[in-house]
Amino acid sequence: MSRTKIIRSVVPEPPYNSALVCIPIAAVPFTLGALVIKSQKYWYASPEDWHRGRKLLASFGKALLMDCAQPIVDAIDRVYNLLDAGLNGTERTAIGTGTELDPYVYDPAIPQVVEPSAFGSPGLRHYTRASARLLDNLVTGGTSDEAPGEAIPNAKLEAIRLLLEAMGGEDGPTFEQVAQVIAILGA
Amino acid sequence: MFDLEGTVQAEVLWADRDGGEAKFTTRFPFSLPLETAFSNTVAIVGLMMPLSDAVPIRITLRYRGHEDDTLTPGLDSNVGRYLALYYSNDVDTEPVFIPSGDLSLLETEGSFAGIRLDMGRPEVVALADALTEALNGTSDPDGGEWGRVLVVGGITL
Repeated sequence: MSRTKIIRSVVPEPPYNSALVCIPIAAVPFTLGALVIKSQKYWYASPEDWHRGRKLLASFGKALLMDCAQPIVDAIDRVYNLLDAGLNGTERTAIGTGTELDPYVYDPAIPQVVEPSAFGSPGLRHYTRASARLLDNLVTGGTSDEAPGEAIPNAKLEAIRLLLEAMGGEDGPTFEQVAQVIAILGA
Repeated sequence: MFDLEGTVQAEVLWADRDGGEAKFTTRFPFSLPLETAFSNTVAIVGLMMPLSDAVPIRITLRYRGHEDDTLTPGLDSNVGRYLALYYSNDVDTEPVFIPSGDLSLLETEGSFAGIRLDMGRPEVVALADALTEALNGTSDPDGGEWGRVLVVGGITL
């Protein structure tokens, strides 16, 4: 006749590290049941080990019932959407209730990689690019989609400044000099 | 609902040198105040000690009531399962177990449907508040002060 040898548990002292792990939800009730059994004094080497074990398993039982991972993922998605809307101007809708059976579904889907050219209006990146091109136009006198009107380049302004300096005198600019300024501005 | 039994049962647990345990039981009238019943038990234990080379390790006073008109248990009742209620504070968690938890109190939608206690049910809220109130100021088995709130619950199998 053989007798089963029971190894009574010694429970480490706190603090305890934690890790985010995936478990099958269907296993939760069975695991809770196992925790109830393992929480009994019989399994522990000393009353102190039993007390620590009870607390440890109780905190684990609570954690098993709190689906922390999916809310974290959903929160990250919400932050992504906030940034995507603000920076890129992407307008996105979502359906679902955020559960495993009815998860949030985004339209358009959240891409793995953002298209660099997808800077839709009125995103911050769109306005930043437009502002840069407007400044560029001021220097070069060029045009762009964001600034279709011709700007006054520095070179023209410099020519006008020099002309106005040359106009010094009591009689003011002559008709020909005003005509020159208008010509420089391209009107 | 319950009828109080006429006597209080005082149990004293004794331990020998090899870890063996044995129980001594005596009784008091129910009308005796709790503190008196306890101090009387302590006095009796003190008088017993010269008659024994074991040592007393625990006193339990049992105030009992019984139900004559018992209801019929539910069709799905099974005391092999529990509804585990987890009460927490900033320090630790204390479980409270309800035998044969009513399955209709569990969530019906979402990932934890049929597993997790529906915390929005009024009967759950009522019990949670009553337990918190009743246990406030007491200690748990580990000596921790009870100052916890119900955080989550679920069925055990």
